[in-house]
Amino acid sequence: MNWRVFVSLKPRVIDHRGRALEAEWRHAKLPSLDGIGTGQVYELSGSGLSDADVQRLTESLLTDPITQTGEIVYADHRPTRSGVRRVRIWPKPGVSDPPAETVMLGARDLGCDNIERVRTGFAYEFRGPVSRQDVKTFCERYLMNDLVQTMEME
Amino acid sequence: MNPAAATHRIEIGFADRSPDELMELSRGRGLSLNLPEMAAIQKYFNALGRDPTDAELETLAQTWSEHCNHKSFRASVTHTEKDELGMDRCRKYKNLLKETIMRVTEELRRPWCVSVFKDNAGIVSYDGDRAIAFKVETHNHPSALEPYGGAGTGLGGVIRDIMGAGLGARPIASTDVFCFAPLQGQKRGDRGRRLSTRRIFHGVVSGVRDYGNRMGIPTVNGAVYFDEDFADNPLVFCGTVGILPVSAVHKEVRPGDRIVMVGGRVGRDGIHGATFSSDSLSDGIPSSVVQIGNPIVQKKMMDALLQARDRRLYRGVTDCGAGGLSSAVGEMGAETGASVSLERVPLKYTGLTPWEIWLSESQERMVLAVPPENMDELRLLLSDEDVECSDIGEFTDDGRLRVNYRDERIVDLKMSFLHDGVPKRQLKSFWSPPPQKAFPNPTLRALRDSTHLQSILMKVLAAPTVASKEWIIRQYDHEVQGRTVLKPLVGVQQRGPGDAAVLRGDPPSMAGVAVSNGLCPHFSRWDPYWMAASAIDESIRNLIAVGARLDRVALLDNFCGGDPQTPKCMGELVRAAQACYDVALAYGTPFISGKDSLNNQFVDRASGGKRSIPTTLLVSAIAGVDDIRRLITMDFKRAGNWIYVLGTTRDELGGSQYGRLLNTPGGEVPRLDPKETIVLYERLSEAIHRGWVVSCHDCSDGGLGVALAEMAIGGAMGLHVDLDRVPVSPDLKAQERDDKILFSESNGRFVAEVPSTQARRFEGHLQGVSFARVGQVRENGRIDMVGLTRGKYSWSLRQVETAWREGLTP
Repeated sequence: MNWRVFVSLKPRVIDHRGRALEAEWRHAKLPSLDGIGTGQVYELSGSGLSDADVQRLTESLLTDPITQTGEIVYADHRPTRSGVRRVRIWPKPGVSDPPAETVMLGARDLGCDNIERVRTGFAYEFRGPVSRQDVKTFCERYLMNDLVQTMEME
Repeated sequence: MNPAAATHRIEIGFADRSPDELMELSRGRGLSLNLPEMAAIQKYFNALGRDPTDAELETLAQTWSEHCNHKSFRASVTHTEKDELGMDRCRKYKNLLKETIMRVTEELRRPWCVSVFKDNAGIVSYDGDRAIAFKVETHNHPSALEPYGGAGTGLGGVIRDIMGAGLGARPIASTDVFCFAPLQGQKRGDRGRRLSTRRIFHGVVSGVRDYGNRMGIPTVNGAVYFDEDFADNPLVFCGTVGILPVSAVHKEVRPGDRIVMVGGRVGRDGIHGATFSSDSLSDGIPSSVVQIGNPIVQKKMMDALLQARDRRLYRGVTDCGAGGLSSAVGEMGAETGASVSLERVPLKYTGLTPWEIWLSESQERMVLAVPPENMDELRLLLSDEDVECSDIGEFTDDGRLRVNYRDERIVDLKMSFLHDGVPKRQLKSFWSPPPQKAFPNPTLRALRDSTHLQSILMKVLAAPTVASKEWIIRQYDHEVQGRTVLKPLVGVQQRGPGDAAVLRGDPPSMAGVAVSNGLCPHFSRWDPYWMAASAIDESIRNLIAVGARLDRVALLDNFCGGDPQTPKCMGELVRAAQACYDVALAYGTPFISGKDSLNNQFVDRASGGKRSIPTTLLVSAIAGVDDIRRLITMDFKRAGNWIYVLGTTRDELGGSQYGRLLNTPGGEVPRLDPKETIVLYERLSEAIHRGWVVSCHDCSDGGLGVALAEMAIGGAMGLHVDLDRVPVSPDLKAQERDDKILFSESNGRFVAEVPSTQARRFEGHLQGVSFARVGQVRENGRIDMVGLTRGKYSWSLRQVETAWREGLTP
């Protein structure tokens, strides 16, 4: 069983990292876009892991309820949104993922022993009429290091 | 089934390989061993009548790597250089390190040097029963490839060095020094698949910030230097200071002690990190050399080990750094012997071959030598602190390193061959002075035009190397632990750049420790000798400026350079090392620890081109301070106080910020006469100690002009200075050049602020050294200067501060 939890800032909370990336986008002289949103993505798996477990972990461990919201997606069945290009950047297999180790410890402290594997990554949303190629170019230049990371684009 | 089970012992056919085949094997496995070293291994195993295993070969490569063995600095060097008359002079060094840097310490024999050049860090006593451990490391190659992880684990590694110094010191502060290409207008930084300088810069700062802050260790001192020379090979120096009881300075290992691995689990990360540092950067680096840190794991381990130290549960400790277990166990058991069972090592995931487990540089691990009777208590303590530990073997008395995986022996080496079998390198070095060029004269019109100098000062202040680093410093927690007495930013609004950080020792004692650094790579293209001399002098000046005393100063050297096999690069290293001996001996300041990171060159595989950094020496200085309440900061304190310039300004604009702004390669590089400066430093320290000086700042990058402006910014006060009164050398006096007085970067100079009530005592105390009263602190918010030909310069403080604070934008 495999879930992904997308954690992003609630509306009206300023996304400072997103603002900084928008400045980088302009610096890169790419065609203008409406905005960039940033967040984290957690991939949780375990043969006995249930929807209720994931819901509890999302609320108690993965999100800050004041500023963040979590969207739970089974496998990678996340509905696409028009006008938004989403990118996820993951550590390559074999590269240390300390936040994932911390999530594993946190989950067990919360009594969730069904979790077997965690992977953490960065999630980005590029809003506006931007081409796939521009997003790819930007990510490769500013967001990922292909020595240790891989990129997924919707 | 674990796939590793099928590959326990893999022998590498070695006996009949030709020299070419040996080198092909070295290159193919990434061993970074040269032909004499491969031949020595071949001879050793031929005598045994067998081939080496993969694990044995990898163990030797790690232990003999440049990173672990410092082969070039320990090499026998035949050095040739041209003297001023163009004649070749030749000198032979049997061991460059022992005959220069270590020799200073041996000759000085300072009683407060408790442990030098033999442990993970240099250790000096500072307060009777307390000692300070200090170590600075480089993490250049990893930071160039993955800046966040590389810089973070660079800091994490040096923190573990401190945790492994003696029986373990408590880290109380960190320092960080970086060299990058300019962020704007870079010419070479964005090529190929490698990261842009901008990304490296941001990643490195974030990596140091997150590791230090999360471990609760303040980052209190540092520098950032920008030059196009570092486009291909950025430099990342991380240092940590620790405090420990003098009774815990010495460690030992006894046969029968258990070998215990503490901390994180082992994965494939960092494999070949040590040998990787012995090679040039190029395209096509494997991801396995990259390490990602986990400061939370290390924090827990640190807290647990300090308790274990105080209960004397272990006899010896070292960190798992470059070379992983192979280096840690090999070093600890060098005098005894060791036997390890690798299947007991906890893994992050399955699938690692035995040699990968043995060599992995997975972070956050330490190795202990534990008396068997203490094992239960240690296990209980570590379990209570949620720290994993594994008993992986024992220290023996047979002088051999034996490693088993399940039932097979995969390493069986004599410790003597492992540690002393590496053939001594024979290197040739050469240096000749670059052609002399005079520093150009600005046009007559520019000299007559006072606005020329006015705009130049603003530009020098805005140069990224000189400009405020507040944007970076504010990301670091420099207050945590509550010991930071003098902080990196000082003054009424905490904007002035402090010369040295000062940390309080353990209360109730008022003793403390001052930490500073000196870095002058821009002088290296002129003469590495004066580059090194200037770096030492700058680090000492920074300590003197806060009130530390010269006779308590200890130094650390961190060399970075190009390929040492190249006579030119080696020649630069030799000259710099010789300067270390000459200057440190003259000052009476021993070196207590050091490190070198060579092969900082980039090889473009497509074109075959090579580019090296200039030989760069970071000198980190530390001094025990008896009473932290007597120290001072660099910001002007009160209007009406007199301003003094101490030390002689000379016509030395070679490599200066001003010269670089004008893009000129001409001029003389700053030199140093310790006989003159020692007297000044001792008297200035005494004057500060007696309370006659209320602020003091050293003149370094940007010269006197920048020092005055920074003191004004720090104190939010104006000043009025008459340049005609500044003590200058006779040749400079004759030139009547305001620009040279303001921007020359001559060594051995300070600006001091003295209340008028103390002026007579201060001046009497300084009789016999070069100094002069040059002006006064004002409250008018302006920096006013009168030039040699009575020309007047005036800047608004706000304007100057804006230029300085906005020079380095994120």
